[in-house]
Amino acid sequence: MNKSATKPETTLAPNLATKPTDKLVVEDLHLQYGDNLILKGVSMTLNPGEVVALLGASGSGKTTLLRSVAGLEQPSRGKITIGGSMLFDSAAGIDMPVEKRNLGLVFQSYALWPHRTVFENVAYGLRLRNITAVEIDQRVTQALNNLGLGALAQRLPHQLSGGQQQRVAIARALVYNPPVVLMDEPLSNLDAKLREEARAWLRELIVRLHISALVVTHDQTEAMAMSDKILLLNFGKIEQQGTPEDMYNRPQTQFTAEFMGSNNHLPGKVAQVAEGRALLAGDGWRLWGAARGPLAVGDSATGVIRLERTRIASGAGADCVKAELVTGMFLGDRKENLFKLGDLRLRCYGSVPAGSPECFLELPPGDLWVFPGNAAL
Amino acid sequence: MIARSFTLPRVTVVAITALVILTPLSLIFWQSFLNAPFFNPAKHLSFDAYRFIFDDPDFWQSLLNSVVIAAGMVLIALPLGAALAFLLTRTDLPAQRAIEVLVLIPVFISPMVLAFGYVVAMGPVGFYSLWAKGLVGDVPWNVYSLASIAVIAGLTHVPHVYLYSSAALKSLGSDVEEAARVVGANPLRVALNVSLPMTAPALFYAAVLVFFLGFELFGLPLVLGDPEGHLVLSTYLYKLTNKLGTPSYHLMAAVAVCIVAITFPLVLLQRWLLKTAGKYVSVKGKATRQKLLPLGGWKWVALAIVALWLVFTIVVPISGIALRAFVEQWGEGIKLSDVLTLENFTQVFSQSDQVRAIVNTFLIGTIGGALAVACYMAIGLAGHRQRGGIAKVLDYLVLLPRAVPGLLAGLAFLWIFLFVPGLKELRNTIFSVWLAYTVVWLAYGLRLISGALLQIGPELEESARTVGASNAQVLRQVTIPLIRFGLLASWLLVFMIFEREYSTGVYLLGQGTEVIGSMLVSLWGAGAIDQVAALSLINIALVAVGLAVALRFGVRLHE
Repeated sequence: MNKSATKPETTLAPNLATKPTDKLVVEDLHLQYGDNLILKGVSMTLNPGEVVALLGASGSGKTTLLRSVAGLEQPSRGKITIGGSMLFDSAAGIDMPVEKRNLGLVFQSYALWPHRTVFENVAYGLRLRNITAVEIDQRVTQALNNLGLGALAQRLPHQLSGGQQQRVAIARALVYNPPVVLMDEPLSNLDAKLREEARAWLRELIVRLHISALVVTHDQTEAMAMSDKILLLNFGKIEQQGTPEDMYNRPQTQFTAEFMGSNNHLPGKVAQVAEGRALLAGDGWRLWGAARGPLAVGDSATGVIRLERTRIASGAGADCVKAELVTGMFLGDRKENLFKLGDLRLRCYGSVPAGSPECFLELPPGDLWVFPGNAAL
Repeated sequence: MIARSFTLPRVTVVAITALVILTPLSLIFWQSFLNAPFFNPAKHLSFDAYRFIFDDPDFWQSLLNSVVIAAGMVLIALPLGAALAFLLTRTDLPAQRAIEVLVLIPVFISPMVLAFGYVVAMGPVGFYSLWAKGLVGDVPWNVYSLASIAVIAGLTHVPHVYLYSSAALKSLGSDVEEAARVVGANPLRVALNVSLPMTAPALFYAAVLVFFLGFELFGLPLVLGDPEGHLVLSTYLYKLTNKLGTPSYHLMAAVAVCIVAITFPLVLLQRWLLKTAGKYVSVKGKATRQKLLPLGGWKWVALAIVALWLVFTIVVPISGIALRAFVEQWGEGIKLSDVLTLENFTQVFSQSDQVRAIVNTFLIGTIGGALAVACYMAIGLAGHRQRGGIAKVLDYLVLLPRAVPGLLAGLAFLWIFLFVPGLKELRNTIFSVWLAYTVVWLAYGLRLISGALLQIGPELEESARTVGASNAQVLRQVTIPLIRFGLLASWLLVFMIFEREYSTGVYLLGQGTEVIGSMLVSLWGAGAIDQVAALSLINIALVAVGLAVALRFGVRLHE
């Protein structure tokens, strides 16, 4: 796979697709396989021109939700509408066949038809819509050019790199201007290096073409980079939804906090509560943090702080703990240090003052979230 | 892991394999260019044999018949097999599991038995013919015509097509089909535009296979073609002796070479197709749970068609044989209750050669089957994780017996056992038949073994090597224990195949080497219908036992 694979050779023409006006609404969707509940009442809205990421671990139901919207899974309860058209309504017994829903879907495996050329893969959706040959030719060529695939039209899928296959899959889903494009882990089949470039490219494409997209991913960075709104799913339920900033900076539950970033954990007991803040005490340390959830003095609680908010202080201070340096790891753009505080292990970035085995780490009260319970998630 | 290639055991296995495959084949080849049997001191190199058969109009008629039957089989088996595969893998057809098992039964019943079944069930005075005559006043079919032979052969080869196309459909990722649905194709268009073209290589492979099997056909044309004198290449070869009155080995060898000249390219074509088919579908979808296509009211129509086919290929011939085995005679105006008898079985069990045939057939399936699997395993292991030289040699070696119909292989082994010093004593033992069976079914057996070997991840063996096991220890302590179930399954399948085999033993038939299959051919020739019926039923019972055990242990009935 060559690196230029994901870089379109041509710049994207602005605003090629018609601006979408239809809103996707999912209401109280339930789905189960036998006794196994996959979706337990999920509701969401995707506004025109918006990108929503469905984020979650494997088994959270994110792909099932996407496939339900596409019509590839059959929910047991709930409602799915796009604009004025009802795609699914269990109460009314409506289940529109997949092919009638007029959606675009980019498969995780790309699912290109190996017996058709790139051109024919993209053209198939148009042929099924009885569009004239001239117009098909024009629209497919335009779509391929948009995605920097113009020169590859007559190739067969197995002659393409992974990045090129991904772009064919996207072109195939976009060419008939579906109101919403569904993407199932669109980047997961790419190499790690390529993935970052593809992420930026895909975001650019979505913004330029004003695409409404529902994107499934298990990677929080990918979700934050690509979407306007994130829906975090946890075992078939929405744990939290919001903008990427919200999700990262203001997690309401420990699950969200854990899922969205890398953290230090400080299990302890609540020693004091005041004005939305809590004093957390552990073996040889006491720290103030922002209370997240109902807390009372004496409760078990866990302090959670992002790695990058944990700082190496120059000396002792109010929000500091004294910890012993165990080892340092050079990561290229920065250095990660591992500290020991009793049984606790704390990590943070930055350089450690030379010659001192012990250090003061600052954990600002505004950045230290205190969640009830001692669950190590 | 690439083990050292040229170790003593490996070279020995390959050398023995080469010897048992190449000796009989080269003997046939050499014999075909002689003007007399090779043991005749007056023989010399000549094209006499070829000149004779090429001048014989019967030869050309048989060739034409073979082509017509093979082509007819493809035309019938291909669409039916593909449709059956689609119905069983992609739709909500009722009773799928039962059908999946029943579909394979024709594969395991001896064609000789099947052919005989059609004669007694649907021949001019067959059970069903007389019943039909009672209804409509005349027998509305003639099983002895060339067209009937092609139809029967085609219908009994539907399972072969079914196996390959259902395997292809199962491995076809559902995502490529879902992708077509999403862009707007309805289920029918998905089937026509995506599923069918993507399984086309497998279908083409199956077509070539069935065409090839058409040239191997022996039992069906021997039994059904006889009354009207329709010959195919294999029966032409078989009847050459009668024609001239003397054993004309050079002529038989020449016909044999002609048959192999047709079948070997077909085998090579199959091999090439199998390779390119894998390359073609390089973008593999991810297999997720498949949504079955609801057939609605059509499912009863589809079920009726499948049931009709099952009735014709299984119920009709087998019920015919079962009935015929228990009556003393049959014809027009005979009342069934008057002629019921166990006499046929008493007769079979009172004749020592037929009792020997039953015992031998059982032994060759059980002990012989186990020994054959052991041989296949040795060869499979010799080529296991080998690249280059040895693997290539083995690869092409095992293709050769695949192209040689059992009848010819039996003939070649007869000559070997007759005229190679030291083997003569074994001629009249069941060993000669076993060796021929083992070589004829080598390619099949090896596919079973390599299927089992493929299940083992190379890292399991590599990790054993790294912790300090030698190559031999890895084989004994890791590889072989891991394929235990595969070996057991292979044994059962080889048992059934050996029970059903008939043509390979035809020329080897003699005192001590009787097996049911060749006995049936010989008794049929002698017109001993009663005993043919009884032995056929015993043969079916033996296969049925194997089938029942295989199903009990959950053995997959195909590679």
